[in-house]
Amino acid sequence: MINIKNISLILTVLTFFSGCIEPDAEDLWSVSVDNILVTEGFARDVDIYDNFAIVASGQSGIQIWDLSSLVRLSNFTGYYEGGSFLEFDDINLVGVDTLNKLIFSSESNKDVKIFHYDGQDTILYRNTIMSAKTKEFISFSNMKDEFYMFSADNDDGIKWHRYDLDSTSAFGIDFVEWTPFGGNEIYTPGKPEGIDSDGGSLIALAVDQMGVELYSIDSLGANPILLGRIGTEGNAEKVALVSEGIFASCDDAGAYYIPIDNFTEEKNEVFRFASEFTVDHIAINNGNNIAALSLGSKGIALYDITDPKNPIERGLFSIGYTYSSVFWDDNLVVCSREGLQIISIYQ
Amino acid sequence: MVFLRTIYFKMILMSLTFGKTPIEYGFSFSSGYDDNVMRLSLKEVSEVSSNPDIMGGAKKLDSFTSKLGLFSKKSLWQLGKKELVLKGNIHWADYYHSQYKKYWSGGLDIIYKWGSYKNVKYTLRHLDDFYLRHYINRDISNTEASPCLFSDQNQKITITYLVHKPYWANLSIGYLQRYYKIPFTEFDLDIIYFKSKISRKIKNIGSISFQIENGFAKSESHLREYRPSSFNRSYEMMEWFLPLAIRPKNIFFKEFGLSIRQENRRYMAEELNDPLHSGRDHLDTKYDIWFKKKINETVSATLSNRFRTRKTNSKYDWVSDLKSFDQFQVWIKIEWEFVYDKY
Repeated sequence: MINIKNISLILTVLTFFSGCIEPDAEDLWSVSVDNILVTEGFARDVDIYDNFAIVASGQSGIQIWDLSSLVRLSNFTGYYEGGSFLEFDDINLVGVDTLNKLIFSSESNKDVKIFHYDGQDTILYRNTIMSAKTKEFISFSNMKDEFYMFSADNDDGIKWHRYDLDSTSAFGIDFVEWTPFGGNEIYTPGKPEGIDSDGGSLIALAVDQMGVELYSIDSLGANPILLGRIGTEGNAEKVALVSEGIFASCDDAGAYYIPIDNFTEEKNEVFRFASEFTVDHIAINNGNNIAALSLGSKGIALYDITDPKNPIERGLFSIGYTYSSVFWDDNLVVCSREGLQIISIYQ
Repeated sequence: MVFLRTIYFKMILMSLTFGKTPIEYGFSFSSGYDDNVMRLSLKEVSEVSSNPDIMGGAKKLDSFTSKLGLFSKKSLWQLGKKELVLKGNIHWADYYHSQYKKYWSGGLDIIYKWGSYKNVKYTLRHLDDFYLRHYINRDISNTEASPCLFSDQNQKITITYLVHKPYWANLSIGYLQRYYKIPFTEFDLDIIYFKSKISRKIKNIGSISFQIENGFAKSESHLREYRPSSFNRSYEMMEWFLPLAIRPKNIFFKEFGLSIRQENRRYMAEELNDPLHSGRDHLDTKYDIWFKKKINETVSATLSNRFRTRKTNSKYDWVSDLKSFDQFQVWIKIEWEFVYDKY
C-alpha cells in the first residue's frame, strides 16, 4: 500500500508539472491610437512646442492644435499681403520659433514663408526666405530678433543664413521683415531632400541618390565644412541625427544607421534595416530607444534601437497612409492622411 | 520541451518498474509518403515557381516520412475488477524532404477501471514544434516568410461506460493548448472541446462507432492593445467521425477498416480588415482505410491510406482558393509488442 501511495504521489507531481504549457512571449510592441485630430487636409508635417502642434495640413493650410485638450485653436487657410487674402495651395512643411513667435512654412517645392504668430487668431506674413525647391529646413534661435536657418535646397545644396529682424517705418506704415546676414549656399553633387542638425556642431544632409552627407560647424553661424559623404542604396530622403550617428530613410531601399565615425575616419560601416519597406521618414526617441518609420500606405514600423547597429523590428502597424512622425514625450504624433494621430507605444 | 520529453520518458520507464504485474511494451516504425506536406492549395501550387518563398527552402512539395515510436503499458494496481493502468508513448517523426518538419510527440494515459467498459481515463498528449509551412509574418514584414510551427498540449478526461450490451459510450472533455512559436504567437489558441462516442460490437465482424465533437478555440491576440496582428482568430468547430473496423476470422488480414471524419470549422472574425478569417468556414474531410496483418506473436504490420480534402468558404474567392487543399498520405507501420513478466 505504501508503494501505491508513492506511485500516486509521483504521478500527481509529474502530471502537475507537465499539465500546462506556457505560450511563447514574442517581443513585439503594441500601440494604441489614442486620438485622431481631423485636419481635413492631409497632415503632412508637424512641429511641437509645449503641448501645441503646428500642423502643415496640406490644402487646409496651417493649423494650431492644443494636444492636451485636443482642441484646434486656429486654422489658417491663407494670409493677407498688401491688403489681399492669399490662399495656401498645399502646405507640406512647418517649423516654429517660439522665442521670436514665428511660424515657418513651405509649400511643395517652394521657398519658406515667415509668419508672426503670437497665439491669437491671426498670422501676420513677414517675408519669404530661402529659395524655390526647399525640401526641408531647420531653424535655431539663441536670442530674440535673430534666428539661423539651414535648408535642404534641392537644386542648390545646403542653404543657410542668419536672419535678423529688420523693422522700419515709412509714410506711417511699419515694414517688418527678416533680413539675411551672412550664410551661404554650399554646393553638393546630390539633390538635397532632407536635413537635420544639432544646432551646434553637426549638420546631416540627405542627398537622394548620392547618399548622406555630414557637415561640421564650429558653432552656430560658422561655415559648414563637409566631413564626408556615404553612399546608400535607394534614394536618401530624410535624416535624423543622433549623438553617435545618423538614421536615414532611403525610400524603397529601407533605412540606414550610419555611425559618425564613418565620415570622420573614412570607414564604410553602414547598417541597413527595414530593407523591404519603402521608408519615407524616420523619427527617433533617444530616451526610449525607439525608431518610428513612416511607410506611406503601409503605416508605421517601430524598431528598437538600443543597439543602433542592430535595430530590432517591433511591429508593423497599419494605421493609414503616413507621411512623417515626431515624438511628443513618450507618445508618437503621426502625420497621416486621416489627420494627426496621437499614438501610445507599449513596449 | 526537453523537460516534457524527459517526463514522458520517465513515465515509460516508471511503468516498467513498479508493481507485481506484467509489463507490455514495444516499439514501432512507420515509413510513408505525403504528397502535400505544406498543405498548399492548387492555386499556390500553380504559383510556387514564381513565388518559391512559400516553400521555405524546400525543393519538393511532397516528402517521404518515417516515424519511430516507443510505448508501454503497465497495470499498477489490481483488486478484483478494479485496476489502475498507466500507459506511455513517445514518437519521433521525420519528413525527409522538408527541412522543418521534424518533431516529437508523446503522451501518457492514466486509466482507472472498475469493470468491462467501465473506466475513467486521464490523457495527456504533447506535440512538439509541428511545422505547418512558411507564412509571411505581417507583424514585422510585408514580404519575408518565416517558418510557422506550433506545439500542442492536449489534456482530456474520458468516461467509458456500458450503455446496453453490445453498446458502450465515451464522454470526454478536453483542453487543448495550441501555442505557436515566435514569430506567429498571435495565432495562439486555447481550445475546449467535448466528445461523445457510441460504439457497437458486431459479433464475428468487428465494431462500428460514431463520434461527435464540438469545440471552441479562443484567440486572445485581438484583445490586447493595437498589436500588429490584432485579429480575432477564434473559431468554433463541429466534427463527426465514423470508423468501421472489421476483424474477420480465417482471412489474411487480422483487421481492416475504414473511417470518415469531417470537421466543420467556422471562424468568429467579422473584421473587414481581416479578409483571411472574416466570415470564413471550411469543411475538412478525411477518408481513411487500413489493413492490419499479424505476422507472428510479436510483430504486426499495418498499411494505412488517407485522403484529406478541405473546402473553404469565404465571401472572398481568393481566400476560398487559397485555403482549400487536397492531401494524400500512405504509410506502413510495423509494431513489435513484448510482454515482460519476470518479476
